[in-house]
Amino acid sequence: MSNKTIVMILLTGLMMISCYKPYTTGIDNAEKIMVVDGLITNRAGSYHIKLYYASQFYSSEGTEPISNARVSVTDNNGSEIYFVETDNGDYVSDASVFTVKPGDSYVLRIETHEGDVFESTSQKMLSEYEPDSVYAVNDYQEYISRFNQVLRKLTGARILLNIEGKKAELPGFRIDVKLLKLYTYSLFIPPPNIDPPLYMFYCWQLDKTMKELILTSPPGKSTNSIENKSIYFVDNLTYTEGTAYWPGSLQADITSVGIPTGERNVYNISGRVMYIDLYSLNDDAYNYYQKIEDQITAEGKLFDPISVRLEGNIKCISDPEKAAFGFFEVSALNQTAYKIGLRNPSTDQVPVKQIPCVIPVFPDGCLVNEKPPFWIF
Amino acid sequence: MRFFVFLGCLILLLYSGTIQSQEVNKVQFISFEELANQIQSKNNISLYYKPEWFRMRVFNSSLLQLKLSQVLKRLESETDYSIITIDSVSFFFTPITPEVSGTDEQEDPDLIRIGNPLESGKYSRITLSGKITDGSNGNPLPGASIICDRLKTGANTDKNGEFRITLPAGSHSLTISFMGYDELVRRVQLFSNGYISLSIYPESIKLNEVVITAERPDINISGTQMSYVKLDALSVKELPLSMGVNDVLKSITLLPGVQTIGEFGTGFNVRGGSADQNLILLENVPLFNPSHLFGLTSVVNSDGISGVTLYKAGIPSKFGERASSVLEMTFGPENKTETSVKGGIGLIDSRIYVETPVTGDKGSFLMSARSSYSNWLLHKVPDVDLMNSSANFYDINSQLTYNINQLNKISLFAYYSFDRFGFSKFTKYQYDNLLASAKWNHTFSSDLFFDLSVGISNYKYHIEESDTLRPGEAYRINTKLQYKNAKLNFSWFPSSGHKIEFGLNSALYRIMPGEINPEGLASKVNFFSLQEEQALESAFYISDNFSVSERISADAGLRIPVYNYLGPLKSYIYDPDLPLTPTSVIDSVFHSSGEIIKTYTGFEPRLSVKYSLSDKSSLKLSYNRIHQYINLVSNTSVMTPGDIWKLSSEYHKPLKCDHIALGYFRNFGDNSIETSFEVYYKRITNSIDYKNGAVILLNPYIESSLVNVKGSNFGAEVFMRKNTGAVTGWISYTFSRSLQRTTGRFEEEQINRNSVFASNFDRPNNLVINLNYHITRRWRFAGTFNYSTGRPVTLPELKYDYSGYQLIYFSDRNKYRLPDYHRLDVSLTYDKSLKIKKSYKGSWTFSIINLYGRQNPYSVFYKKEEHMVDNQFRIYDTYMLYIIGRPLPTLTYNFSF
Repeated sequence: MSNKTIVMILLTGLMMISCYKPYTTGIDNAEKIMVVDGLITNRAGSYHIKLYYASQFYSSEGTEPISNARVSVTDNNGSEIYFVETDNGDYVSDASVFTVKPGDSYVLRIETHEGDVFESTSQKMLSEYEPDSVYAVNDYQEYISRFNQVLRKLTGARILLNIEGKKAELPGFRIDVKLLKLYTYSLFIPPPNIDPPLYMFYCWQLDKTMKELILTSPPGKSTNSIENKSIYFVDNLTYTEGTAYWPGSLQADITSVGIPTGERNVYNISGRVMYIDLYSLNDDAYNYYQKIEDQITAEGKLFDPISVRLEGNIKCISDPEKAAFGFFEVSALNQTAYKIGLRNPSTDQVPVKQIPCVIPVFPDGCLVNEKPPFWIF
Repeated sequence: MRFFVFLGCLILLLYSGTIQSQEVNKVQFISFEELANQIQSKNNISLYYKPEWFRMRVFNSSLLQLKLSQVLKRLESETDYSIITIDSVSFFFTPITPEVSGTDEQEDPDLIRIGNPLESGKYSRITLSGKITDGSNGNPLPGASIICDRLKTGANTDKNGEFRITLPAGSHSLTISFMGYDELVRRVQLFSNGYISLSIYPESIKLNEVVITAERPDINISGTQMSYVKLDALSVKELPLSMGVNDVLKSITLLPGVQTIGEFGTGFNVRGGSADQNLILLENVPLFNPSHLFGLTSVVNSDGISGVTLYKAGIPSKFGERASSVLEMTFGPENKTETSVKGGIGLIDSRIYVETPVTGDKGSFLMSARSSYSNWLLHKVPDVDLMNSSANFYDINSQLTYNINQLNKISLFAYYSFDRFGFSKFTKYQYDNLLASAKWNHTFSSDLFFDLSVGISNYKYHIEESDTLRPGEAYRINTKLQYKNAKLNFSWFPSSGHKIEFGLNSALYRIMPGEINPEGLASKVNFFSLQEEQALESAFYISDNFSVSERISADAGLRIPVYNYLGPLKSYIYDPDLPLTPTSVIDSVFHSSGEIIKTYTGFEPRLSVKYSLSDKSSLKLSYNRIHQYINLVSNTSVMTPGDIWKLSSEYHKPLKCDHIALGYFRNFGDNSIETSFEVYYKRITNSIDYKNGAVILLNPYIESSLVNVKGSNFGAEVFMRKNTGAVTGWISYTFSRSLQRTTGRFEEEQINRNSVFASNFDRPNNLVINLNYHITRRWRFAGTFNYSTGRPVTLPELKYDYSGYQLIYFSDRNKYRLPDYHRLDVSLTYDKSLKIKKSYKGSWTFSIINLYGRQNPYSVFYKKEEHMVDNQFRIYDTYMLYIIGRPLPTLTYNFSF
């Protein structure tokens, strides 16, 4: 047998690769288990407690809300605030009567229309912390090309965050980061016209649809500061594929909300705004989010830990056999915003500058003929 | 010092016991003349014989208790004379006619004379000692059989190729056989006790692609031991190839009762036990991580292996420490007279092997080394992290043996394996095994031998994570296990029917469960170290392999382990009214260095009994109890390098395993077809499992993450093997269950509410068909089909959203099963050279693993990835991971010279 034959046979062996594919199997659990998705913070405003039933894993139907429940939050001073159902399964507090204070503890109580009573453990609100600095360092990401399965490199910058501890020990944090890409374009509408009016479109879109959970080191595992915590990767692309909009009103001097056309075009990026929500977590909340992180990042591959159930802080006190999912979170929230510039060719740096925090109502949208309040370019 | 004092006392005790028993025996044994007189007077008969025939013989006086017919039958069997009678009153002793007349013996050039011919007639029974070696290289052949067909008696060679057999004086024809070797028949004439050396040669054509035993053909029927597999050096080399390389550990899993989690993963499972319940011994020292590359191949290079024995049940009393099985591997040169070099190039590694005699034929030295070049495999996987990963391993082992004289032999063994796996750009895993042992074999007399060995086994595991953008978070985690042992074993043959073994074992464990260090000057990670654990496990054991009657033989033994959990240690005291959690700690106690924190003493009876139904069939029963004081704590379904070894402590009692097995063994033809049927039941208490959501690594309250589990493993194994002919192979079917349940008082200490659930190793049905077909003298075909029920898994049942994340509610532990596993591997071999005398031999083997491309699921997992299923867009789904999803062809060239 010639050497050439041997080489060919060995190359055939390269096909031996581990792989995975979607797999649907029979599941036999028809339990109806309540889910509690509740968060109260130190920010002024209404708070939401959402109640609904968990779905079968392979179900493509929407969730089934739990209505007509009696929902209240009691603080450590004995004050009980009731939440009112405003939408199916969405219970909202009255912003004028319920304010949350750092240092206080709160207990959630739910009484369903079936008579079951659920209560959370007592959750303490910690102090608010603010990022001391946010900056960018050049970096790159690698990905597999969908076209030819080749490893490719995407250059950009890693956004990093520092928090200086003003106390002996920092709590654990979760960081929620959103990046808005802003783009503009103009149209003469309606064409053809001898002197068609010019419409200016100020559009924005959320960079990623997938939400990432970012947790800092556990309390006590690091020193009293958080340094160089990576929170996001921004690429160096100067363009984006964005939604095309149509004016809400065909009067050139009238400001209107853009109507999405369903088409997508490539536009030059006018600017980028990053919003950072920094939640100070108490130990219960930190542990719960850490388990969430374990679950959503575990891929069940060769040596991943066997996945387990998440134990929340809601218990059924009328029937201990009944389970409830979810968590009642009480966290201090700090919100900041930053302008993330495009890479400066002369300095080869991505500039980062803190700006007033004005949060758009919708993650994607467009305002015609007027800059939105968060438009800073 | 105490150890030696104890040892001295033990030897004195045993020696005095021997003297006492000899004194008693003097009273119990009488001369033949006295025996004959008493028989005559008791039964009113007359015995006729020549007194000189029995001048040197003594007989057990208990014969007088038997009936006349029984006494006469015993005398016939114990002497070389037949007894005839004409009138039932007069009985005549007549010598059994020799096979060869005296005249012929004088003229027969092939006749081997043993002893001094001048002593002819002086002894009626003679002990023949000897050694059987491989004629092609001079190596001893353990397990070869020496049979005297006429007297229906025989013996097997021991691990040094030596044997002892007691025969009547006179001429006999001895048949020496060994699997894979040409049978040798030699005639011997025995005058007095003597020694003989014989050599046999490998068969010109190897009959079996896979040979899983190499002992006398009917050892499965005649031996006391059940549920075991023994492979010699030749058999090891002919095991099925795994990934193009010869891999003993992978091949073991094709045997009944032995399974693996899948095509990847460290270790194997014996009769439903976890992988850490297997004691893998390399020259008397345990190996703690037997896998390279997380299970792709085993860390033991088969070059240099001289023998492999796996005990699944009826584990001899000289073994302890692990509950499920013992896999004993020994090393030795193939050729003691010449230097030889071997090498090989495989898909993922290359290896070289050297062996050479030392100072003539008094000693030998061997060394084998292996190194990988497996990065290319990872870089072909379409995953960003794996494309940025690197993996390499190497291992090296060497052995020096030296025969100081005929009574003393020493051997030194060293082994080192190293793995480094860089996952993505930032994380690096590294682990290594270091083993070393020294052994001294001494022969006190032809009846008493001893082995003394000391050894160490160090296992280290290391994780390093350092992202250049986050130097402040860079860390390094180290874990370490140190094991030291001393073993003293005596083998004593007080009479031809007994083999007594006794000795002492002592093992010192020292575990560093983990420490985290800052990596680099910029790291802000605080140093943190878990407390070290240490313990001393000592054991005394004794066993006797003896024949109760012609049909019944037994091996009875006892092992008494004493385990001391030692300081220094800070022990936490938990509130007894609360579940064991970090928050239920109410106090702590400091134990000083060497202080005994907790002592556990075990009582481990061992028994194997064989009842011969005929010379072709037997029934065997075995029972053993074993305590295990070290457990691998894992929250993964497979054994991984990062799992934590944990010693039994005041909170976790030693694992106790009671194992009973019953087997029926039947051979057909001229032992060419072996069949067996075995049933077993294992009861395991104090096994360790992890709580839901347990944190294993760097957990100072590790005991609070673990729960005690009771287990029941039971099953039946049917095995049929054909050894000879153009078609050989075996079929085995195993039905087995491995069930367990927690016994926790509190909800936090319960799994599935204390109800019974399947363990990770519960695979009820397993079928293996191995077939070898000799198409022509040069061409051989082999195929292996393996089927087993899918293993239990925990799957998502419900989903819900929380704070924008989709979360999963998983089922009860191991509620579901993966799809069944089945795979067919085939190979075709062409032998280039068949001549015995030709030193260079080569063969090409072309094999296809997973011939029909079955995508056997290794695991089912939950993942976030956009995709379409049945025209529906899904982001979250369950996925099935498979390792070898397509036919994998390999080509191997084997050579030797």
